[in-house]
Amino acid sequence: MAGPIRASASPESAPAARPAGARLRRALRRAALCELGSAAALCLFALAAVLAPWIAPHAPQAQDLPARLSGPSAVHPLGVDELGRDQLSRLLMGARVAIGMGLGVVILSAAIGTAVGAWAGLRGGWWDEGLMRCIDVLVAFPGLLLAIALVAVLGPDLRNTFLALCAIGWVGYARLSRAQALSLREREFVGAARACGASPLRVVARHLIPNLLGPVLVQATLGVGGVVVAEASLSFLGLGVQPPAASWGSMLRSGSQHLLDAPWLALFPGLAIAALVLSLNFLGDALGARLDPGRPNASRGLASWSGI
Amino acid sequence: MKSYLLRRAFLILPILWGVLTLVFSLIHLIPGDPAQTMLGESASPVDVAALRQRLGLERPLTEQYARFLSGALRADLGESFRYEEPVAALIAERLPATFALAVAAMALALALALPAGLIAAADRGGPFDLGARLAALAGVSIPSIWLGPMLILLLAIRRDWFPVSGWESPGALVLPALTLGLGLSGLTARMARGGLLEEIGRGYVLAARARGAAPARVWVGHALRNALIPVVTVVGLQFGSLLTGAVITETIFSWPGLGRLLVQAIQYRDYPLVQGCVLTIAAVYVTVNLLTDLAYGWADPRIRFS
Repeated sequence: MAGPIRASASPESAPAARPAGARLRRALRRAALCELGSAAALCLFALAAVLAPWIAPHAPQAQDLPARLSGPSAVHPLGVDELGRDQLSRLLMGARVAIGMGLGVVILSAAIGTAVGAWAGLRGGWWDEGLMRCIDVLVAFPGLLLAIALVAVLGPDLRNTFLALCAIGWVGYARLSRAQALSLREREFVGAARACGASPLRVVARHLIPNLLGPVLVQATLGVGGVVVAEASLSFLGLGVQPPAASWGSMLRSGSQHLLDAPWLALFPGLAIAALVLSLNFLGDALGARLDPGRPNASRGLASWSGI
Repeated sequence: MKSYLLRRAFLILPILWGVLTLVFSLIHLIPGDPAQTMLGESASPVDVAALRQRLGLERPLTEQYARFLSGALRADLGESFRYEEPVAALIAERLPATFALAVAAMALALALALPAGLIAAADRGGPFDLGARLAALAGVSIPSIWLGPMLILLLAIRRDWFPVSGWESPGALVLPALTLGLGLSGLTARMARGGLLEEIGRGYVLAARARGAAPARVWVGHALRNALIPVVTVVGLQFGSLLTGAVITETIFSWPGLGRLLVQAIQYRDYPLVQGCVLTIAAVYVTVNLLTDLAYGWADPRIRFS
């Protein structure tokens, strides 16, 4: 409380004149502990994913058959799976799949969805009508169902999982940016650009998309967690990453077969997923609250994935 | 109300047609020859030709499409390749188990979420609020593929409180319902808290307080009643996601429902059965969404006329 009062009592101490340390302290005070914690956790996950091949204590596919199903030890800090592979090394390699898939799917589907939605919102008419009817049909398949069906017919592997998740992922971004574009196109700067003879493509790329990026960014941050869970769920069903490659979902799948004799095999991959998703959700919520304090329900991005 | 009903019901026809078309095209998305894929690489050309004949794959595409549409309208979804039984019969057999699971998960989610939301809203900014909000975020974030095995480990293996799998006793429903419902419960608790905080500032609540109503009566009898309408709507709209979530939960708990049938059909490349399961889940989802919308319109007349 003392900070703001002092600041308003002495207006001459402008922020620029303030020492950098004091400004940093103020910023840190404002950020909640949870947000800092989740940001730190995310940095750790990202580091682990990038450095996985160098920091993994063993090769992820190397088999130490005598040690199979043994618990955490000095040699194998998180235990050994049913084929004698070191679980920590596989978890680190799995982080690459989880984070890579999460970022890749979100970036591609946000790019496609935003472009399509902004175009339809600007042009209206048949473009808009066609897009909305397509979306109506796609959202008639709840949650992961369409992705499951697509991977089932295309054949289970990493590439098809990626395509299937993008196929259901772009819809949310298209709806969001269409709605934004509908209100933006009535604004004066869009009218001015059109009056100057800018082509619709140019209006979308230069005027609409830069102005609707804020909400898209919030939805994308919340969406990464959803994609991580979706990929893990597909792999858990045997539809995602195929053995022997490591994915948290497929590790959890084989770990669940050994709940009696080696419960740590199901414990750690699940902890990794939950910790990553929790950090992403915390950060997404915080970001949403900052960019748009009036938003009624911060977890809308999750709503479409819940039940998974 | 009647015209609203008709208008809403009429709007889902093109959606259902789109869903049918998409499900029909699934089998044609299979790379290569679907019959060959279903039978495996080592199948003899005679067997493959026979299966193509049985699936009607050598007919013109338009004829296949027309037969698929007219069959679906008569609830004839073809024959399962593996079970050699009508797909519709197989699905009808499994549907009750999935409905039981989804309804139990939904009931559990509401039973956990409403008190939590109420406590959080009444204690706004306090320790209970923080605790409930953290619990809700954790509930949304913990994936069911982990929650399920952990519940089995802690409550069915370490403690012999619930059976590991099967669905003979009512107790067997508890762990699957918890696995399926916890995420929804987190979401619902957050919505309930937000809705309550919005309602508690309204004039009618102040009026109730001025008349000397007890705090419990103000919160539950006045604010909660009004905050419930949008909450229940969202829960209704999540029913379809529960059906998809059931695919995973049923796999974890060997629950004999539609989701497990779908996963097994995928494993055996029984594509007619895959199509049937996907179509059924989507159709149930669209129908439940329509009913939820109609119920919302009935409960809140402002919706009907907007």
